[in-house]
Amino acid sequence: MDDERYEYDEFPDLGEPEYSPPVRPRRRPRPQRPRGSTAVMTVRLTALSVVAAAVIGGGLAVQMAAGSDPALGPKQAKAVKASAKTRSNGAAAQPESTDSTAQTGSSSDSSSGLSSDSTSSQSSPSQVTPTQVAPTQSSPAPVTSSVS
Amino acid sequence: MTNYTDPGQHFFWIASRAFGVVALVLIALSVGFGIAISARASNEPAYMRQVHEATALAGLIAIAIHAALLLGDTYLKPGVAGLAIPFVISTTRIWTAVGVISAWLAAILGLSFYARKWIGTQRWRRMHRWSLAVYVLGIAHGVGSGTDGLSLWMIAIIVATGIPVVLMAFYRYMPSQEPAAGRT
Repeated sequence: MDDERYEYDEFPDLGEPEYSPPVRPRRRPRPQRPRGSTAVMTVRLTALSVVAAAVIGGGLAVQMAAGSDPALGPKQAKAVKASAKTRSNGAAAQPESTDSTAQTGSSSDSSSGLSSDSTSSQSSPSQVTPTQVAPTQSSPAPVTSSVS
Repeated sequence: MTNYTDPGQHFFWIASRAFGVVALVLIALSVGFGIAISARASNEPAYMRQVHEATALAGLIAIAIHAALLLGDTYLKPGVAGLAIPFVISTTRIWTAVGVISAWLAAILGLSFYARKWIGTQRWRRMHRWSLAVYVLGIAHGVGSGTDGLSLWMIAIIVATGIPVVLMAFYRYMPSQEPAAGRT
């Protein structure tokens, strides 16, 4: 047994003890971190998590606004593609109508976005004037009949 | 008509996603601290216990907010039953159900701490070990049903929070090489 483990000074001098119970060496108290209650820590963590969620949510919103959201991004790209296709179809149709009107001698209807079907002088009577029809047709009779 | 690039239209959905990520991180931290406590890996077990409890409670609150915000989502329209009962929502049915089960497990296993007087400490300990499953199911839900589950930043978060948990779990549950105390 180690003699240093006994604190003889605390006892009156009674001679060497025959038996002394083993004394556990005193441990130095660990430096304890100052603590609040668990409730306070939980509230702080919750507030922090709200802030973190706001930051993440902001990032997600920016991502969505840029059109690169994982779920909506592909749909947005598809929608853009579809609208571009429609626009290009419209643009492709426009020169035709212009050409047809040019053939029929009109210059006023090119902005109406006509389809290729509507470019024929017979089907759209509103665009067909007797002056346009006159060079190609001998009489305006077919035009008036199509109106009725 | 749905606008795909207007965050204002999808506020509840975005907020729910954000709180889902936060909940996953908090649960990972709580599980990690819990395993560290049981493995006696810290010099300050009392403080660790406090952090473990606080992160678990904050995680539970984040899960509740994550679910509650979905009630406001006009696209999903899950309803209270869809959020509380597994397999009711048809959108990514299995992964959403995994999330619902995980949330219930988190609530039961987490809050059982306060009922351990009635449950009994041994039984509570045995129950509490299943908290690791909450984390695993939460990741499965996030990756399987979460919109951002396969995003690079989300994978980075999962790896960053998951590796310490996995290492701790190995350290805790691997059989010890040291001779048992008391035997010489």
